[in-house]
Amino acid sequence: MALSEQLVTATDQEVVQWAREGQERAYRELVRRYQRPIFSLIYRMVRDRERAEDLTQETFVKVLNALDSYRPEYKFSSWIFKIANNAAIDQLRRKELDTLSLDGAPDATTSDRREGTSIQLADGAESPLQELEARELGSQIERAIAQLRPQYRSCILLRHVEGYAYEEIAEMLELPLGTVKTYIHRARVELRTMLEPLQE
Amino acid sequence: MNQHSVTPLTPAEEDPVIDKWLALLPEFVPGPHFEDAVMARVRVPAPSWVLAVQGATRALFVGKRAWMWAGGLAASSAVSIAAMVTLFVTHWVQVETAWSLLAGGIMIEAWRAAVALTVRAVSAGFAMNAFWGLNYQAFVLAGLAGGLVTGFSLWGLYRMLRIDTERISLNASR
Repeated sequence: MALSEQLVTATDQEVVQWAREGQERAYRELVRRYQRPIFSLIYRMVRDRERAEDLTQETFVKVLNALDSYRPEYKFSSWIFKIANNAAIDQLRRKELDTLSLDGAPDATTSDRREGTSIQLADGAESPLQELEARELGSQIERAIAQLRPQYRSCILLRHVEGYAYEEIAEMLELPLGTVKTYIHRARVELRTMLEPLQE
Repeated sequence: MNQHSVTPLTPAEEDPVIDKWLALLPEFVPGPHFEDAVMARVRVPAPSWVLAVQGATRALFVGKRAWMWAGGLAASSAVSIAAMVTLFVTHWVQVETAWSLLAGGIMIEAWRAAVALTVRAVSAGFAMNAFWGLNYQAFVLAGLAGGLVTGFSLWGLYRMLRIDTERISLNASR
């Protein structure tokens, strides 16, 4: 079987091993596997497309250049999400982008910058009305998530969007397990409160 | 949702409304050249066989082994030189004969090449002379003029170099 076919079905650990052996295609496979979830997490954390892309790139460069220090007994996905989350939290601490703007970053001063930093929802094959409704609903959910505290946001995204176990989230975020559970519970309560009008 | 580690919700977590909302969240995609931009900044190591050869080579020159290698190289050089000297001293006549034959052969080849070059140059000169319709005296005069120019050029070059050498010596002595 050709390496390109093997890469698609291989586990993360196997792909990392091939990358360590100098296979450039293995590096690309890791980027392909994780670029969407990592970018989505960072984008929802910093809410600025350009910054999110820069931070995602930084995350991958950091991880791929340090593959030698990766220990196979841990999940590769946990390792990369941990680095991505740290990058996003650091960015938030530096910039304190607290308000969500689906129309662009708060510091956007030109129309190009607003367009470049606005959240672009996925283009579904729906009717214009359905698309508008879905877009509006999606916007409200994104807005609600964005209003959560960064720690709550990380936890709820990792748990409910990425599907990680509490223990893995605790390890990734370097928080006690009880704290993670509390954060997720509070995040859910806050989300429910904020999105209550949608239920009516 | 990440396909590599999907953990089902516990009963305590289940909340159909929240789950429905979160399921609506789209997955975002970075720009089209993202992968290449990342790869441009990643240091891909050399293939494993190259690393193995490098590692083995490096291992040969670590610690005591390095000294062993250095000593071995020095000893083999010393033995080679000693063997050459011994050969020259003990079999001088044979060495001289062999060298004469070798040098003689080289000299003969060099002489033949020089003669061939000269003949070709002179033939070319005569051919040019015939082409331009010049007489024999003009050809000789042109040759003399060329020789004089070359001589003067060499003399001028010598003078310039001598002056510079004197200046350098003077500066060095200050």
